[in-house]
Amino acid sequence: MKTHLRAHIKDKLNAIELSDAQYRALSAQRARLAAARFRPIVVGRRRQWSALAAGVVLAVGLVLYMGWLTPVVETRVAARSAQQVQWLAQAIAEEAVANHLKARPLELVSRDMGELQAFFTELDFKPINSQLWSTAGGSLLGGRYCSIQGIGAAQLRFQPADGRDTHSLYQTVWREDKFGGLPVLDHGERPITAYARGMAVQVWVERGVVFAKTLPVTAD
Amino acid sequence: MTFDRQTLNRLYRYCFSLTGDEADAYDLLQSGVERYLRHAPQDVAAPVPYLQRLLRNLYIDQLRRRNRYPEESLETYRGDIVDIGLQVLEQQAIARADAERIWDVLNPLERELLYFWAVEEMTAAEIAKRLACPRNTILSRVHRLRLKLRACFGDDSTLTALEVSS
Repeated sequence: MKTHLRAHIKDKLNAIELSDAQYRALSAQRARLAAARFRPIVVGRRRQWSALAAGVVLAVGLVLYMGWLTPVVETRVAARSAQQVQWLAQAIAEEAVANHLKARPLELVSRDMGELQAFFTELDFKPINSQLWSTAGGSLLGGRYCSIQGIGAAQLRFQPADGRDTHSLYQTVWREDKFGGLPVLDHGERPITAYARGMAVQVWVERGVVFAKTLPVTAD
Repeated sequence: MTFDRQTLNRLYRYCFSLTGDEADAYDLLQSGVERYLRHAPQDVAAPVPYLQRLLRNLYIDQLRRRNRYPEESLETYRGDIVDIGLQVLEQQAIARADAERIWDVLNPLERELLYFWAVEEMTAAEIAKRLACPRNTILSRVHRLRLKLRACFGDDSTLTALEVSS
């Protein structure tokens, strides 16, 4: 009795599958390494270049501080505050909605903000509750690493108190070069609302952290 | 990038085709995924082929360190056997009693060839592209594989269907 070689090889290999435990271990490994990618690696010669770059930045900062280029800088900031801030909010909104709609699995499932703060060890800041949105505003479901405008960020997922679709609250560290001009709640400013793919996203800065919150979708 | 279970199983089978052992295949897959996530560019257009090449290189490195890499490099082109054509190879099947033994007598690169041919249903040209080698090299490998199967399991009356489309 004979069998086709091709069919035999195919059946033999297709019968091989990862066990549940192996799959879970690989998923955990992926989550751990994805988080680690946000950590800058500085070794050997790179460290020397970093030191040189830091020196250059300090020198440029000193020049700016002394006012030699003040007119130029003021012009650029003024231009950004007028139009580019809206574009920035729009870019953040599109990124936030795209991430939200993908609904990737949470890397930590927890209803406790303290646990989430402890989980996000690879970020340059601690996720916090906001005046506009706190864990009291709905049930916290958990979080995962993501990025906003290329900066490592936390995505927290919530179940609203009214039981409607989950929404996401993104947080990342505020940096002048990336997020300068966004409204700062601590200065009495109000969030910007931008729209993407039929969803609204509020964007603001609070206590040195940039927030982007997807708003519940309504049929209207 | 996120690897779903189906993709990981596909890669696991590829690893098994190289290692011939499930535990070794899992170790290789773990190492490959780790290396991919640590070092691969963020914008890899085709992650699975990229990761397969990475896994292959990783495995060959491991074998070389243990001096177990096949002595006869299958990358070597031998022009004198290419004229066999693919039609000659489209006639091989195997006795059920011998089927389970095949995996044991083949070396990693022969098993890899069978994986791409049987599971991924690739042509010789596609396999050559995936492995970044000339198509004639793949034909040479198929030819040697057929000779080996014949030596292990008897003449062509024993083997009746190893086909690789061009």
